[in-house]
Amino acid sequence: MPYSDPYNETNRKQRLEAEAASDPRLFFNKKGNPFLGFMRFLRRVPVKKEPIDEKALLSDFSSIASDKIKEGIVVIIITIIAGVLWVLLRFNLISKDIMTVVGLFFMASLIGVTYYFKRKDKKSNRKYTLDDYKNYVIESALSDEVEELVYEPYFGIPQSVFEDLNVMQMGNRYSSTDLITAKYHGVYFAQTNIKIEDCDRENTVYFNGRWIIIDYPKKFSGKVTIFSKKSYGFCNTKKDKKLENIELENTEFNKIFETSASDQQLAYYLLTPQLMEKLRYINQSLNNALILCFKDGVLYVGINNIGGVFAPNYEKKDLNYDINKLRSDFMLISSFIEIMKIDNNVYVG
Amino acid sequence: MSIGVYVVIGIIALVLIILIGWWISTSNTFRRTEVKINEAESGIDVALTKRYDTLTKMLDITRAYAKHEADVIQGTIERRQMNSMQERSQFNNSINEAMGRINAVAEQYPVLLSSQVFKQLQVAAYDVEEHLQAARRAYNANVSQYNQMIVTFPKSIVAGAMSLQKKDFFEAESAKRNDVKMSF
Repeated sequence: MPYSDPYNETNRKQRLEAEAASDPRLFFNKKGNPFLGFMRFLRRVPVKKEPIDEKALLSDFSSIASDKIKEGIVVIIITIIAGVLWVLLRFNLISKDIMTVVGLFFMASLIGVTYYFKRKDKKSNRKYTLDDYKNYVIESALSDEVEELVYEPYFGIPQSVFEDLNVMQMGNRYSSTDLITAKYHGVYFAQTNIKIEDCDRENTVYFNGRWIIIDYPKKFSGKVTIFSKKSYGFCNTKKDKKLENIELENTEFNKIFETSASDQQLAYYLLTPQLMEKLRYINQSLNNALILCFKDGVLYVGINNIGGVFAPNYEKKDLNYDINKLRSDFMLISSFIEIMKIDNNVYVG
Repeated sequence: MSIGVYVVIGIIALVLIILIGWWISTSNTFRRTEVKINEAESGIDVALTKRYDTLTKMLDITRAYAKHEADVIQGTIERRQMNSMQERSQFNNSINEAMGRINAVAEQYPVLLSSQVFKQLQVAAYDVEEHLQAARRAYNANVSQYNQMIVTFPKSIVAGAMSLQKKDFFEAESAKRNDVKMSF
């Protein structure tokens, strides 16, 4: 099983606790792939990947996709039956026709149980998992463009690293998965899916979307945050009280974004006229809130797009479609790196 | 005194308090902006000094390969007292010119151009230039805000009472003004 336990971890709870308690300063202070740096910190060793049989992989994905669609239908049927049961109970109809209630309950249980066993049986016949498919798509889409590509479906940005940024209200549940990290034009980056919610309050999701980290080669110390004003309606950004509000010379930019910085000149140094125009352009093309944070030599970009970094299309079941989708998603990262003219050969020498 | 008189006195006192409060707040805004301008100005000075130092180092290396040319370039720039923004602009322009000439000389000496130290200095010069651009933009943004406050009513009254004068911008040389190209 190529992806069942790629980092030899036996206790997921222990791993999450270690990540939550880890010192955020250790994440980026080593040269090389930040993800691998963090894996070293957690003392885990990547295992060698096995070669993939594309035909078997596509066949297994097709079967998984069909299951996912069926799963949705079963959930709908069970929800309808549960709804009918609730109505019967709510309006005291149970005494009139108790057999209907029992019959409906029996039917729902039967559908659920049959589906569960059928799915379990099918799962055991598959060679590849959904994570293997995702890994294959990611490698096919990006391996020509980037170096040192790593995909880890059960790993993300540790909570301590995210919390240290102090840009978002933290609820009581944090999860981060689907980490992709690689080097593009000599610049290391990582992308992950983050969800922050407060389980004690109904429907309170503070953030749900893509989180990109770019290891900025221009070394600087200090912090600059840029929140698109759209973010006020979408996610709960948090303003750092130590930062001062900055008005940049681009008035159109100021209308769209709220900028704060630990030092005015740092904001002007990082937000070049080209980058400001690019951010306006990106913000226009996104329907979602855009959050940026430059902190101590690293750029963090958040897009609250309420979706995974990478979710295969179960209806199309088309490998090329998924590859192209991922490539177009990646363009956001590549364009950020290009517009900042981040080229280690030029800046670092 | 009747209640009406008290009301009138009260209204006058309230208006005076509001006016004094506004006056203090406006003069504080002017002071704060001045502090920001001074900070940005010192940022420009630091960047200019760094540029000059980098240029001197580049000239020292160039001298090992092309002594005459380096001496000629050295003669065109000198460290001077920079009291006004115009003087700073002129000094910056002379550094730009000298940098261009050093690079032209380096093109003629491939050994110099491929020298590791020379390359590092070119990178350092680029980085210092970026810092200078940032300081210039921050300075000009602050000056623009300050000058607008000075000329717009009613803040112009406070500015007049404080004898505040409009400040000069730090001008970029004409070639640098056109270097922002957008392509998506």
